[in-house]
Amino acid sequence: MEIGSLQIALRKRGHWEAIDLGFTLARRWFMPLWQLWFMTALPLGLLALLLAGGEVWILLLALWWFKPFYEPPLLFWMSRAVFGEPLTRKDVARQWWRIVRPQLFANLTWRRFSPNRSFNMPVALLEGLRRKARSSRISILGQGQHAATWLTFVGLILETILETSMILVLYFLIPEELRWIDVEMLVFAEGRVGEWLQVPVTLIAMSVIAPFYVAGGFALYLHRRSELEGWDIEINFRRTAERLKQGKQRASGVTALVLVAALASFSVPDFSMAAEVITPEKSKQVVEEVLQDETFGRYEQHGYWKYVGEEDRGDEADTEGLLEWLELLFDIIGGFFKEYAAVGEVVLWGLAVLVVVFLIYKIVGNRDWFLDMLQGDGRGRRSRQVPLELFGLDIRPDTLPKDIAAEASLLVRDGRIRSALSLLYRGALVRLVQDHHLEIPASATEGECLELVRMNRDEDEVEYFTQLTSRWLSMAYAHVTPGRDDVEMLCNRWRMVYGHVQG
Amino acid sequence: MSEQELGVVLEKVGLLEQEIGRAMIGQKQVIRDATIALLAGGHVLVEGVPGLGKTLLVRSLAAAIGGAFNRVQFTPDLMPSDISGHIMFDMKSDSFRVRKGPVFCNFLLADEINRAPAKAQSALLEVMQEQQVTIEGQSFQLKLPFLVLATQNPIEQEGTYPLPQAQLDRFLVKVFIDYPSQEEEHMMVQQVTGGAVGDKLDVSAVNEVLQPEEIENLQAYTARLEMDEQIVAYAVRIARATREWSGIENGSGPRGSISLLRAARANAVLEGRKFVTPDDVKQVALPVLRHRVKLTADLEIEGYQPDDVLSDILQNVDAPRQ
Repeated sequence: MEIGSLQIALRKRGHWEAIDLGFTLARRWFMPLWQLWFMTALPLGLLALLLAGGEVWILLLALWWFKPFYEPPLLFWMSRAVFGEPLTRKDVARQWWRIVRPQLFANLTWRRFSPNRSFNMPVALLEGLRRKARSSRISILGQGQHAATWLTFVGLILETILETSMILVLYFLIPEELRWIDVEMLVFAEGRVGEWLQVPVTLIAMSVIAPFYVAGGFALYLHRRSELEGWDIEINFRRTAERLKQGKQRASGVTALVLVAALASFSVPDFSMAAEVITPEKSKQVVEEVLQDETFGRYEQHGYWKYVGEEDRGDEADTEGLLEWLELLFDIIGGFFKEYAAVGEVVLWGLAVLVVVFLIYKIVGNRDWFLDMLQGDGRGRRSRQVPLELFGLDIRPDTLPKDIAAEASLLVRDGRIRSALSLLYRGALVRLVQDHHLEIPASATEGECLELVRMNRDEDEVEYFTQLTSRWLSMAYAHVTPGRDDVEMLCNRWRMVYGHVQG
Repeated sequence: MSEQELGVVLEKVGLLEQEIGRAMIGQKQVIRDATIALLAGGHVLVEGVPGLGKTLLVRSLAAAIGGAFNRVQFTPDLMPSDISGHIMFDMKSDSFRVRKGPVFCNFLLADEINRAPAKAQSALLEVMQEQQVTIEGQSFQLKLPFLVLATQNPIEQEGTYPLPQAQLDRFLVKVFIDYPSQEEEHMMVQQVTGGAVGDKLDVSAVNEVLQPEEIENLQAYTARLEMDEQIVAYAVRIARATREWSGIENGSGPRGSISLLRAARANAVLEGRKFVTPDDVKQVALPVLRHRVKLTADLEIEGYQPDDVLSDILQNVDAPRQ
């Protein structure tokens, strides 16, 4: 890549101005960057959806955690576009794994929480540096670079604001009289539509912020390299040389050409390769060589007055003491973290192992679902959120005994008629909800459940459920205990109507 | 009343709706709600256009119970004494005597109650609440059962005096009476025009199945009906939800919960049950609460009815937990 073909004007900038330049690039190339982001995020999001097994918080966490997957293609594309060689999406897709793979494990684990992610990413991805070379490069580039941390921090806040705003806008667009839920429930209640709404909203918020975040970090990186390696000077000299070549004053241009030649020796000819790390000794030597030229060969002496007597230390003594104390405190704190950095690494490794174990556990736990999917029989079998409780009765299948009728008979023999009836009624509801997929809302009364059974089930079941409901209603609301024989009969018929013993 | 006698009366209650239905074709829900109000000792506010059988309903009810029926047409110049009665000087006996007004009956039809000003309205509402009439400082107890069926016309609002919220609250149920279906109207027209001169209301087909005294006993029985604590809590939850629901400016007060339970008990009796279930509460919730809530202005402008909002509430309030 030719440095002269840079699409941006390099000059001395402040950090914030550099980020602003990045934002300008992101605005200019927003559509390709946005599409590239989705190219990775959508398939990974779908995979996370499958693995999360209906747990929305896991899905959201995974979407956030996988950011190091989505961002490198954006950076790669931009690194080419900035030199006037924009790639097609197909090109990037073809090289996707090559772009994303370098140091992926580190990016997804301990480096995931690095606030300088956007700034450090080009070092690994574009320069291909690893381990010590990478750290020493980052330590050189990163001197006095706090803007990248702020970029991450502000990006995070903007992402959250955008996400919340989108949810609120959607909520406020619902006419007031049709709102079935308040904002608090929409955002925080589990298993509600709000929880699922967060998924697309999060995805959109992340996709909008990502191009600006990556471009901001990239611009900071470019700015820092141009600052260290004098790209802007080189480009200006080249332009001057070009102009002089074409002009008449060839003689005076010689000096400039010499300078260009000298400066070019420490510039970076190929962007895709690691920049040559110039040692301080070598750079000093180069600078001295350049300064030997007549153009720079002038020294000036300036004189000034400086007070060299004893200073009045009166009040300052206390302040100095405080400063020393603070310095000591920070040393101790710094030392503490230095000591525990190794421990932190171990903890992070432990966490990573736990995440992997958890994912395996979830996959094993949802194996039926995966098998259904593979057999093509998974259409919406679990797409519906089945209620876990009706009328205060826990209707989760795993809270019921395997043979409900036998258990109820035992309860009848023990004289616990109410518990037996409750078990039979609960068991019938579980069968209706789980096996026959009846939609029974939490506000449904016993009469409404009976009506649903009348509309959806066969005559035998309707007849049995009518009897069961009638006994249950008398027991629950009239406190009339039915006879033992009566309940025994219900137990026996339960087996016939609701059939199989669960294994 | 012995258990056996009560059993007989309860059987007759089942016949009550059937008998009213002989004269009044269709309008089953209206008949059910009026019977609920009768058993719960409450009053009914009927909203519907003229000519749908409101008078016929009250007359049939009176005929089936053998009670006295009266009708007052509310007009802007109606005075309270036109309803309750007054004292007049009797020239023959040379003394004052009380001339009792139309309110002294078992079943009173207050037709187009919103055509009279507040003074006349409140005279009737006092009678409804206290079930006694005060004329010139002298109190007269009304014969029980006493049921007021007040009507109002939803389409002609000019020159009317809408009942204030506090007065609406005194009606146990508010019923909408709608046009009958084609078959019902066909049957009705056939029945009314069959050998009759003019379009006089005919309640001769209605048999007397209950006596007013039996109704009193039934009301006492209804009031004592078994009710679980969970049912009370359910009714309170529904009433309280109307106060916090978006789209409702003023929700129902505690009288709403009380009325819900009274009406639910009556519904259980009509269903032939000796205890109240959550279904009873849910079934009576709309007629009991629809006139006790006031929708916000924007919902009213958009044409929403209290029933729409109340249905949402019923779908969102959890059924009792046992």
